[in-house]
Amino acid sequence: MRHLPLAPLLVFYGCFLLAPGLALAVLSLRPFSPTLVVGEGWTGANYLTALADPFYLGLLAGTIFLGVAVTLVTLLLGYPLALATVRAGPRLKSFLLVVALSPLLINLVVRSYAWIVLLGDHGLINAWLRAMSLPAVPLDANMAAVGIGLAHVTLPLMVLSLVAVMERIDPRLLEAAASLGAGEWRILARVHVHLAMPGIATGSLLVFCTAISAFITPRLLGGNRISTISTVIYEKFTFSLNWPLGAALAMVLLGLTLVVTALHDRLFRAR
Amino acid sequence: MRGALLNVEGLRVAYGAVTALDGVSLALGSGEFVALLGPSGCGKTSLLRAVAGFVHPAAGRILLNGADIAAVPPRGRNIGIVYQSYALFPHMSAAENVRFGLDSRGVPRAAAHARVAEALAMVGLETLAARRPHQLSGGQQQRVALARALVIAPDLLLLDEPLAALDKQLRVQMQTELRALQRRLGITTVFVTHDREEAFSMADRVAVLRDGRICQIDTPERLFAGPVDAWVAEFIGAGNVLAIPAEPEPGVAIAWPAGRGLAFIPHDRIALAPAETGPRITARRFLGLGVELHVQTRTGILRAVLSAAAPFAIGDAVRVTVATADCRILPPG
Repeated sequence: MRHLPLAPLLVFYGCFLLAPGLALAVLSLRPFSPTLVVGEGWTGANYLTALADPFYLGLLAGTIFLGVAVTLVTLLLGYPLALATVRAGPRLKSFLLVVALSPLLINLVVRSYAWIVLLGDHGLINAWLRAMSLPAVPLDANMAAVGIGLAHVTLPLMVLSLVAVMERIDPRLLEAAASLGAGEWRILARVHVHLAMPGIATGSLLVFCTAISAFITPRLLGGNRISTISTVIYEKFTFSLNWPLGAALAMVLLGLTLVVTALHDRLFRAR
Repeated sequence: MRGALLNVEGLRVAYGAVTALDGVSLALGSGEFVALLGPSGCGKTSLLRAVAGFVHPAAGRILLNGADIAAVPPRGRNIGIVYQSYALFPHMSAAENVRFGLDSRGVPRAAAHARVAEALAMVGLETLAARRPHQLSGGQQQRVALARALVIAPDLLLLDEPLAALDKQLRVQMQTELRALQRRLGITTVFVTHDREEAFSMADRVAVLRDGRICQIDTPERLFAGPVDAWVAEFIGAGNVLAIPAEPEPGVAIAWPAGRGLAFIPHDRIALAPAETGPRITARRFLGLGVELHVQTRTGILRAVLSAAAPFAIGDAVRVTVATADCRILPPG
């Protein structure tokens, strides 16, 4: 009876998350049939393709690389922003928080097209570079463009995770470090980063998982040239109609997310 | 004070519209141990933070070894600090915590190692060097914090209620140890506390602060004997502070001083004699070496400390006698 209020939530997750997930898992174990799309019987062939075929392995590696790169970029950009937010007075703090959250306030598709306008071969950035007689930078439909777009979307996740932890750091620890003769950089590297580690970990987890499973940003900013696991899953379901392989790839992506989450849990529950 | 190690002159500290310190001057001789005593919000911690360099004074000067340190950031001041919360780095062992200040100063590896071992031995923690702060008791953490502050050989040691988080028995033990260590090292120390007993039992001189000003600074003995006003007298518990009655009360032979203000009578300067009528004893507290009796007079309760053998019980009527020399007038404060 104690858990009765949870019933609606359980029904919701059961019907709309667990059941489709199980259906997808079943689908990933069916053989592909060129005529029926989904064949009869059971097979592990889809997983063999997803995890052993050089093309799909490369895809997996590329997606993980993208996730790691986006995580590092958001960490590098987000840490100073979070630090400034925590140190600011109340008025500046609300302003900086709005700045940090601003990417979430713009529609995803609009935002992606805005980036195309900026980054494209004939976009603003390259137009300026040309105007100053500087060499153009390739940012049109490539990994860098996708990375920039994803870093923009995921930056709020990183900043909010960092701010939440940094707010709780005892300022006297930093004062003690200063009184012991440490400069700003030394305090940052030897004390502050360690104390902010739970925030770094949570932010990285959120950003990484969001980046590797993102679909619209890689699709729009990567054009047809960049593939991530997500865009290939979409392609398997809509164009090549190999649903079982698409389902297997989706399960691999889910598995990757679960592994990273479990790793985070293991590392930070012990503290 | 000429040749003082620390000189604070006309210090004013304000947070926005709130004035935390208003014209505070203080001088500490080399090796001196001074306690800053006052109720919360009196400015004692602000004074400590201004000396450490964490708050910028609105006016006034702070001189350390005769040099104005206004432009020196905290890390250049060579001041050791111990906080009530200890502020140990949780991700470092006790030894790494102690080493932090030496690493920051670029002390070579071997020398730093020896100094860390020496500092930990000094506070009796050599066997616990590898422990993290959360594996240490409050008292042990306090020792690590002290070793960390002392290993850098600071010119000045600032202690911000360092013993307040410890239980009473350990606190008294640490008071003795801390003072012995401070004497041995001869390090000039400022000790912030709101605990009167702690201030008076440890310090060479006690500065009583109230509303951002130092009311009085003197040795514990002289503070007790001669509080400057009625507020100080009551705050430090030096004696009775009473309004002078307009007409005499039967059974009360107090030589009230002439003038305006409040009368101050030390607790141990009151003579009580058994009587048929007169003021009555309303409370009796046994103090071990003596007994404290509360006598209800018309002007208020008079607290007298007598030898434990004094033959009085609650409800007894007494005759109260105080000599002229033992009752003097104090401004209200």
